Amino acid sequence: MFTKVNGKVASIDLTRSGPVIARRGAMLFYTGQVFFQPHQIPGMGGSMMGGLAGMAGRMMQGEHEATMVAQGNGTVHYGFRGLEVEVVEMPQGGELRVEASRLLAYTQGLQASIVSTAASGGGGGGGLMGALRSAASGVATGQGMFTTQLSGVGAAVILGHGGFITLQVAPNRPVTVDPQAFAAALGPVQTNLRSTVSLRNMGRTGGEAFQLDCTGQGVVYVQASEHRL
Amino acid sequence: MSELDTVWNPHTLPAGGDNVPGNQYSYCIDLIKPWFLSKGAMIAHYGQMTFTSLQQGLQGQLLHMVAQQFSAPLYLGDYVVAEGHGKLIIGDRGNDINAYDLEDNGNLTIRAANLLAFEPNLALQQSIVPGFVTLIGTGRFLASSNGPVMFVEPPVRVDPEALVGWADCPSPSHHYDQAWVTGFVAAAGRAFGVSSGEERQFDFTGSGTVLVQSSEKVLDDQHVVRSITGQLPGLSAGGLHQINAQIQQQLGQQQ
Repeated sequence: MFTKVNGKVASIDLTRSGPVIARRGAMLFYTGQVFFQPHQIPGMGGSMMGGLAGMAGRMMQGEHEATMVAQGNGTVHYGFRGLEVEVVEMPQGGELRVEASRLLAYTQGLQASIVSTAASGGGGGGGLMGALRSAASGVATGQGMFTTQLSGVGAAVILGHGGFITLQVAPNRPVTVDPQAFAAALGPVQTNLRSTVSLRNMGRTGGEAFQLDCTGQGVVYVQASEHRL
Repeated sequence: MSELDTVWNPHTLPAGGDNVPGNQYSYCIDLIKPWFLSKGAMIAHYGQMTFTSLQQGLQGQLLHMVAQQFSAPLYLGDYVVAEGHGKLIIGDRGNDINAYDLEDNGNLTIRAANLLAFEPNLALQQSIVPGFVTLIGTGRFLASSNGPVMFVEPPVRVDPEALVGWADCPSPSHHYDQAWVTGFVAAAGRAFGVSSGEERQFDFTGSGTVLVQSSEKVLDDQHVVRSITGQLPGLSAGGLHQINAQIQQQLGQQQ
């Protein structure tokens, strides 16, 4: 549904795709009759309290970017701060986990929700102590405790600094990535943050103190840079 | 050997002016006659060249030429004249650089921050749209952009920040998309500063070409600032207060 115009711009024909939700300020230009309105503001569909509370919740978790909906007939071009774009198609349905700050646009067929990364095996072990430990390592690496999950049938565009590498993950072929280069995971992929720091080797770990183990079945998108968005 | 680790010399650098092969971020000008050059764009040069500020030090023939071709006092401090003979390599903070040829006495309006260099066959004039300049004549100019430039034909609406320039079509008008402000609650949201962020666009109609860069990252907004401050002295106290309030509100939103 999305088409890459060049490495940094994706376009979409709203007539065929239906409404598109995109990061605010990312629209470059459009042709045809297209209308933009803020997404999820109080009073715009849904119950008012639910919208407000939901927004506050997402803001608290740091998983919130202002978005807007484009609808109508026409072609819209999106790009953001000169970052590389990658189109992720999910024609058969599926789930895509991506940080809100790396999500450029998605079609309305996809449902966005906030999920806890700790729930998918944060690596800290079970119980309260485990949750605390994953929170601490989340802070240390800049990988938040929460992430945005898109599920359903549709397509999305993700953002990365320096271009993307897509890595296949299979049950017998796990892959380990740098948490700061990790961009998104498509399909049932469990991410497990692992610390290589211990009291014995403190300060001499070779600079890769945290690693993200990806296991399961799917695709992992990695950007060719350690620049966090 | 790949082009990226080629060691260049004056004979292997492209003749007649072109991007340095394999590198869209730099451009080599074959300097024979004077060029206008954005200040600080020069990376390196071979041969004898002098760079003269437009504000001082110009003499004789050159002063006459500048007076003829450069009628944009707001931008006088941003350009220099390069004259001499040799190869001149220019770059602009890692942005893509492209050369365009303006034909048949054409006209093209471009964001001043994106205009890197132009031949003196082209006349430069200040555009009515703040921060933009118009080139008129026949000749070559170089423009930088964040990501590749896309060419679009009107009718089209463009994000003001993504716009690089336009050729042969009438100046754009503003288009405000506020159709969503219908209900009472939405209007309240609008009053509290909830906005789609895309409601202001430049609307192009007629025939011509619109140039759009690949991101909404403005290279430099110094020129807009300058044109605003240039208009401040004539304002009344009430008007100044109003602008001040607006600035405070916008600064508050950005934090």
